[in-house]
Amino acid sequence: MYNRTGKGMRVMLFVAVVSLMLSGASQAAQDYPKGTIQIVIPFAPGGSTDIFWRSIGDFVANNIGGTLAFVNKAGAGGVSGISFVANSKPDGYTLATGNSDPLNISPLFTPDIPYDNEKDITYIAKTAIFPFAIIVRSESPIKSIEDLVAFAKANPGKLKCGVAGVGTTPHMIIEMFNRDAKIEITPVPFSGGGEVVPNLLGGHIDLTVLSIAPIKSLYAAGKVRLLALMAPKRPAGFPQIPTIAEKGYKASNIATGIGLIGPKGLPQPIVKKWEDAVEKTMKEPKVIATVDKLEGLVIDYKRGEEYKKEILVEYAAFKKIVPTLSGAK
Amino acid sequence: MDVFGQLYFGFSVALQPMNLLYCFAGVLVGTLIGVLPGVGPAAALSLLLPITLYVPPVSAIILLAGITYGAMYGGSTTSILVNIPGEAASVVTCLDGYQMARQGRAGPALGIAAFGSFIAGTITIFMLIFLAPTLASWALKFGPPEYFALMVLGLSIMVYLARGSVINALIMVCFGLFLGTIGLDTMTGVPRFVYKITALMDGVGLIQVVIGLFGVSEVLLNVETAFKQEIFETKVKGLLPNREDWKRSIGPIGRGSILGFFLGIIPGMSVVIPTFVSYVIEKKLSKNPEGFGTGMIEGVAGPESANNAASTGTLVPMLSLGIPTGASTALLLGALMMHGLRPGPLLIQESPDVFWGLVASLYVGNAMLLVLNLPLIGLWVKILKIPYHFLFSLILLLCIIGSYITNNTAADVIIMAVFGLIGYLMKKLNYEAAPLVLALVLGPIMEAALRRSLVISEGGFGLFFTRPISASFLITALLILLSPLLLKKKRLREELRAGD
Repeated sequence: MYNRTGKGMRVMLFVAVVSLMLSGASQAAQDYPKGTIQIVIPFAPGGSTDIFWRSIGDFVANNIGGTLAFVNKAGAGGVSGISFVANSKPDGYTLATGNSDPLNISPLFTPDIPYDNEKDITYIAKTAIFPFAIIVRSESPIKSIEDLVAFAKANPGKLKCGVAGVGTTPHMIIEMFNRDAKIEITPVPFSGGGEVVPNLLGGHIDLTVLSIAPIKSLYAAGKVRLLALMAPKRPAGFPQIPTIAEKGYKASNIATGIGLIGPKGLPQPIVKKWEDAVEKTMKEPKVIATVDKLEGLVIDYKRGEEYKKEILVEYAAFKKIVPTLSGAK
Repeated sequence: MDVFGQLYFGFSVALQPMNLLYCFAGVLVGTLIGVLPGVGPAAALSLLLPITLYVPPVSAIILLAGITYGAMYGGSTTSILVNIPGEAASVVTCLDGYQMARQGRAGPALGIAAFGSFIAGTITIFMLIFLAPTLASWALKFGPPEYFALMVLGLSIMVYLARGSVINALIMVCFGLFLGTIGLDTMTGVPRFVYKITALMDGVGLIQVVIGLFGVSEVLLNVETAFKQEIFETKVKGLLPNREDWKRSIGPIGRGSILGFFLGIIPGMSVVIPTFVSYVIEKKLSKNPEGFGTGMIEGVAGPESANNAASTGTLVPMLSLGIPTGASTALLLGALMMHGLRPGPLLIQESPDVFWGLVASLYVGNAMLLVLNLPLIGLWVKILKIPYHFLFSLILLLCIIGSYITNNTAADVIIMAVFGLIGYLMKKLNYEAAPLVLALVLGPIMEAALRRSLVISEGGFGLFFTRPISASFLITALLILLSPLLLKKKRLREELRAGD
């Protein structure tokens, strides 16, 4: 039976598929989204990015008018998840989020990284930033950035700064600060911020650079002292802490952003739809209140093009310092 | 208000009908994901995180905490029934639990795991209430040198894990330590033994190795012999532990609880390590150490209590300092923060209802888990009556899902399959998997701790001996290594001969 009708069927099928594809191409953007959108979180559950998206996910879904499925694809500091999305179909149904580390730092550390951060990625929008802080414990004799710089100048290499991992934003910050202030503080990489905090409190390291979310409660309880913040402006809740730029170290003022990206060739109308949806979400009072509660995240909406420019500028800056560090490729 | 008054207040929060319902939902979900190999509590927590925004904070935290300790109950089920550890923390349970199941004693094994978990939960909740603030500051004394010394101590007990030849066990330890070096070097970011394979950049996943070595290899071995004999004796001898079982288990449960709790408090300590330590201690204390690995109930009772105790222990740094000690606690913290609560030193004063409600719900949840798990034993044991030629395909499917789901990557399934083959060969050649797994857990922590210590000391080894905690661990390790030479020359000679 197949042999008799096979040819006709195949022609019919071919016509049907082609016409579907043609109509699909023109209508994709208007109909979008028409099913579940997979958003890859390139880290294990429990990270700040993870908690951020899952807490505002319902609002974003409402504004884009589709169902969102957040999928954790952890590995290689976010590289695995980003490369999965960079190599997926640019139909708007597979996107990725995450902090900027796999976009502007990993390409400098990971050999044979499977994507080009300029060419293989469509930048959709930036949603928020994590401000970082230079932190000492409250028993420390170092009371200010000036103290820190003076001590470091007098004792080169003596101060040990715990960072949440090699090739992470805090690692870049301390190296930038070393160059900015012409000092030598030794970074000690740990596996994640959860390991750094007890080591700081126990006095095993002298200082740390950490995002402010996990230490806010310790700060409120008087267990740690914040010397300076890395943020465009002083974030709410920390009016008395200066930014590092205010202290004259502009190049060290780096905050990692949480953004949304897709594979290259994502149709412009879909990007536009997402930009609008994200912008609307980030302006909703309920979202602002939720993000405020997460303590330590600051909403910083940027359109795709601006976000891309920012990532590439930071990438260029890190590129200058990374070859001097051990471990870079 | 004194502690008991506050606890009474906590129970009045936890026993509200809605909170009871959330607690039940949490422990039920926890048990289910615990039963599924590879699916850890973290995945379930992050899925449920958005939902908790719509319920009051106490209920949210009760629900989420229920999942974390429910998973510790469920983890033992597949270990005992089909030799696949439901969680990495249930690896040790396979050693004797699965043997018990093969002897028709799956019921008592599952039963003692549930009772042990319940007793451990009860003991450690009271330790949490009375000791949390003191213990949190004790945990802070652990810097990189102390971690290194503790890991050396852990490695030194490794040979006692071995059932057969000590030399074979040491070879497996070296193999495990080697596997631990695969991936990006944590100190410099240099890839080691990665060969441009992205999936290896984070190293070989513990869960994939464990599922391969235990689950897949067991299936391969059984399929090979299935035509000749029945795998499991069909006659199931009793569903609950008998009086004799209890007599043998009560000591291990008590020791496992205390040990697990203290090791769980130390941030960065994995829940896996306490289970191994508990197993070795029971083996050393036993009058019949040779019996371990052939279905001794002590080998199930101790480790299963230890992993539950450790998961309560991890709440100490979380609640008193706001420090997450793992993915699960990080998500619990996230849930608290989403509700505008401040986990940390001020939590008890700022939100007593959350703190005491949570503590009381831990107790309520543990009781619920016991009630929930005991009737399930009869059901689980029935699974063993399925003819093996049907069962094994189901087991393999579980293995594949379990290894895929941790990172949602297909490469992990391949890694699991490779370790299934390695595990099969190891069983054929009489190499045991447990020392390998422990070395794989300890190795990376030990290496990182050593190198961090040396960065901090600027290259000097002195700090390992001048810091009291670190020095005492190292001396204990040395004594453990020398003790067979000093005390049991004869036995060692026999063991070495067995290895030839």
